[in-house]
Amino acid sequence: MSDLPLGQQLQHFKQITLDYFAKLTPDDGPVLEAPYLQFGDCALLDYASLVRISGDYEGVLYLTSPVPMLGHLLALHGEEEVSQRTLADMCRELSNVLSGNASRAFGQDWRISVPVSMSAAELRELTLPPSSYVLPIRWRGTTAFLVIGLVVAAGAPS
Amino acid sequence: MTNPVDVLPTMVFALTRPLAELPETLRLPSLDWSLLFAVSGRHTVHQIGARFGVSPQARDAAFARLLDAGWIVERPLTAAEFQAARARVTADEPVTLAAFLADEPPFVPLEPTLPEDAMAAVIPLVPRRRLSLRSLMANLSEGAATPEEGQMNVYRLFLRLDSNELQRHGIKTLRFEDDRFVDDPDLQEQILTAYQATFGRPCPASVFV
Repeated sequence: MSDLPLGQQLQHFKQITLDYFAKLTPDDGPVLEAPYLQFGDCALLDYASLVRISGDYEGVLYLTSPVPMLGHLLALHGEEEVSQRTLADMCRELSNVLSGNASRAFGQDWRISVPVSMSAAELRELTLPPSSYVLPIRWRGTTAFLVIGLVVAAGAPS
Repeated sequence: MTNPVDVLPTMVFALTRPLAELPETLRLPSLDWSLLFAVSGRHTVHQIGARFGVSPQARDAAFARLLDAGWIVERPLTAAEFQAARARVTADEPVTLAAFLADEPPFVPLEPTLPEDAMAAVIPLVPRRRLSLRSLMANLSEGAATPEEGQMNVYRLFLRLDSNELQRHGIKTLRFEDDRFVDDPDLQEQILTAYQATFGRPCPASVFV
């Protein structure tokens, strides 16, 4: 069993993810919109940064972002070119951030996979948990989704 | 309001709860009480109305009121049951002149549509309940240290449910402040089972309205 309740781990994970954006633009920090549960199709935008997690539950954590948001991030990192290559690079950067955040928030009790970055089309090819927790993050006029998709791990206590 | 013409002589109604569980403060017209006490889940509207010698119009209006109020529910019939029910309903439900003059109803033996052992399962005598998802989510958030913890409690329960089943009932997304109801008994049962499996305790009855 996890030492920390899942809710506290989520709160920690959410906060350090928000901190990432807030540090980039202290005067124009991200705004959280009301979270919700989604059943069936997963929330997917243009790109996604994903890690797999396993513990009492198994599943994925991913941040899916639209191209304009990645474009803003590229500009903040001094990259003026917005192309498939640079967008993929930015997505990889976010994957590393996400992985680090996931390790800090969940690492004590969960196994965290190597991060991967992919396009929405590639993400659709994956088998993702059918029920997910979606947290919209609004930043600079664009919205990304921080998504947690879990299933009960086989053999986990009920 | 249900239109009285929605009630047909061949319909068979069942109680939605045992008579003993009706609210003590419930007030109904005399005819409605009579019909309610006669509802068996086995006898047609025509049979029950004939027993009390009530006109089809008054009978249908009373059944419609009971239906609207949720005290009775139509029991689906098999083809054989329907044919048996229809056979017992006389065309236009005429009243004989003698009966009309004597102000007596025609004699109709109150035999059930079909013998009990040949019938499809009768709707169980359980209250027609609605499960409030808002009440459920409020319950799961009680005592949580943070909103996120409450939300994760809700998520942990819902990830045990069949997402296709949820979508079939129109639940494609669920916001934590949503005020929605689950009427389907099967889905209600799945939610209660998931609650028990997730938290190791039964779901409180307060989630039902």
